[in-house]
Amino acid sequence: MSRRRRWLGGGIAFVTLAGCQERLTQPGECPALCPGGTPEVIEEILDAIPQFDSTFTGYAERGSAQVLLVSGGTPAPADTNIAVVVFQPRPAEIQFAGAARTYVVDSIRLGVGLIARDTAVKNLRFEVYRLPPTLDTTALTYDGVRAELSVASFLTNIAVPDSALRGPQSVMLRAAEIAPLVLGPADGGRLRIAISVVGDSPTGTRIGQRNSVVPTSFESFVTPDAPTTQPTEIEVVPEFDTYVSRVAPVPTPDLLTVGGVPSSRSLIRFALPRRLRDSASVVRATLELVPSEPIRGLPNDAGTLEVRTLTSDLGAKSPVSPLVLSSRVLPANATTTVEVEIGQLVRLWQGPNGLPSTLELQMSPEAGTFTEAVFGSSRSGTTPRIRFEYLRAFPFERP
Amino acid sequence: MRRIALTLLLAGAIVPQALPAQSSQFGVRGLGLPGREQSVRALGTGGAFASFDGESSVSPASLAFLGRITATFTILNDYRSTATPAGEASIRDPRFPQFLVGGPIRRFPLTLGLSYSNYTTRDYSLAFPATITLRGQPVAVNDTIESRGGINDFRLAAAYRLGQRWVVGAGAHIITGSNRVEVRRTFADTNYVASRQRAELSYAGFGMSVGVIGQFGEVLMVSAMARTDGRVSLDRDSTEVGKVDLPITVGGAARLRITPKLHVAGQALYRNWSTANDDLVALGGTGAANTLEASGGFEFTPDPRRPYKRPIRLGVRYAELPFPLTAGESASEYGVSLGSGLSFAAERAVIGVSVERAWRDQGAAYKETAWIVTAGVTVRP
Repeated sequence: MSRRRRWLGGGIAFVTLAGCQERLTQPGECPALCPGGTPEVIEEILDAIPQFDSTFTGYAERGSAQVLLVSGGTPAPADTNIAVVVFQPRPAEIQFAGAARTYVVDSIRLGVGLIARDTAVKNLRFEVYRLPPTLDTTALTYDGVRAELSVASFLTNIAVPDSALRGPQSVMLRAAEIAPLVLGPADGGRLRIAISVVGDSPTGTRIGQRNSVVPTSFESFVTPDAPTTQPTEIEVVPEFDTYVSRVAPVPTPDLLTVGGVPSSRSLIRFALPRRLRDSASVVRATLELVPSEPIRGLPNDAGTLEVRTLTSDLGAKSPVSPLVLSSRVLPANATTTVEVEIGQLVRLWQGPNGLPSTLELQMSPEAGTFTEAVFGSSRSGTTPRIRFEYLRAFPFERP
Repeated sequence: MRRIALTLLLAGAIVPQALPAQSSQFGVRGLGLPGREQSVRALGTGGAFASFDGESSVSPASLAFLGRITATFTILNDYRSTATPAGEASIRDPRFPQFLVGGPIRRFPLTLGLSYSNYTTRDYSLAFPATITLRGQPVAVNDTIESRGGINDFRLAAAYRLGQRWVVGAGAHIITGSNRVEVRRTFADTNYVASRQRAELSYAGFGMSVGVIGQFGEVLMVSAMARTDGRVSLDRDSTEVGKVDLPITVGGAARLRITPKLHVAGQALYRNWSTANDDLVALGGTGAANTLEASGGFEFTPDPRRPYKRPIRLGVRYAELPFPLTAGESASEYGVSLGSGLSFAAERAVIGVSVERAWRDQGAAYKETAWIVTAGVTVRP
């Protein structure tokens, strides 16, 4: 092959291969370079179906979220929550040097697992009271527990540093300080305590329940009765804990309640128009809820409103779709309309196999936060609604 | 028979699934930019020799010029600069506009051919930045409308020699293809998710063509052809949304042998695209207009016994475009082309190339210039 042929062949190959790139984008201009027109965003508001929005209560009981709510004068001044903890029996003897031996208690450490607090409240402390062995833990009431809190039953304070946000908080009691903690025959070896919280202003905390990683703790440092002895430790864990509340709000049937203890959830049903169900491209959907009262909760420890859609609408026990979740943090005392972006949920409603157009509202952590919201309903005149922005099917066939 | 099978096998291995020709902003509306159904040899002469080129699909009678089993394949690269009131852009895209397999039947004065050509192309990507008001707030958006694909012409044709001076041909055309179209809208505000809608527009139709070529004396050859393409149905995602009348094409061409080494030719084609006007307007388009396409050119072959060895081809072309960007306007294009090629193994393998400079416009607002580089490979086993 001559040199000229090789150059020509190479040139053809270069043009053929180097040109095999596609770069087609150019500025469009309507109406000339605009087949089908431009996509148009349509705004539409869809109200919930009247009478098809309701609240159901009893999904989660207190303590089920591995959290105990303890407060004094919050979320509302009337609200007070006191924790009650019953520890497992502390053994009367321990194994030491190959034999069961009695012991002498040298010191005791009491601890509380702090999970959340209002960081704006300073000088936070837990007040620990001794509860009598006659306390019936199967029929606890706020008044019954509150009556046992007195100067005589006061055990100690567990101070929480202002810098502490979470984690175990404890106090070490020695010498005469442990006298109120002596366990007599009537106690059956069990320590029963009540825990309240105070600070520079009314406040609350969330502390660890017995199944959490930071439960309330009771450690005894003892010296066994033996010729040659050395200090050792006895730790017992709670066998029962709960909290009692001074106020127990009852959901109003004409409103939509989310949160609280036992927890409430709300179902809101919408009639999705065919134009939205079949072919629209939903670019944004916002659920709008109007609080009928300020959001109850602990400042600086907001709960989260979670919105899910159902896989089938069976009422209160409907299964929810595990695929997607929309959420919105609810600050305490907020009164403005709560907006939750639910576009990803609404898109599950579309198509021939779309899910039921029903939303379920619940609080997170359920039965584990002070946050409780009460929203207007179709019966109260402030109907929940969805604000849609969507695009209709594009007329591709328009040449 | 083995050679025919081998040729078909080779051709099948290299033919792509989609065969649109060069694209253009003047192919955004209507059915797209019409294809030319020409080989690289014909393109090098501006299309002037297409009616006398067996590797082109303009006239079925031209199949008679295939002296032996032949397979040809072309690849086209299009480098364009567009100017519109919205701005300018530089664009490039590769395409595969023409594929043909054919050859004479032994002991019969008959030549058969199978070709796959571009009929129209709708390849584009248009971007529209804008600001719209949502919930009382201005929101920046960016729209993109894209289309890929076009309509293809699958032709089965035969040419029959009537003595030494006349050839007649006939072809059946299956007109099929699709546009994969997509529109996207993205929002600067992240509360809005991007919208993406897709559809496939598919086309199906049937056409027929006839052609005749006559030799007058030793120097003049004349060709005439006619073609009707009936109606093409338009489906969107398998649901019919309309039908569009396709044009009748009539054309004539003449080739003159000036010397054994130099041939000149001219060709004119007329298509009554206006028959599609009402259908396109009913679908919301800008309509269609009749078109005239004319070209002239020459081919100089240094060695007449080996016509594919380093020929020099030159041509000019003028064509009206059927689908205006705005109703009532007219668009057209001009082109100047140059081509050549190399042959190997006693012309059993040929590589051809053509370069065309094209100018397209619709009034002063919409202009386009393009370098269209086409390479073709022809094999005659």
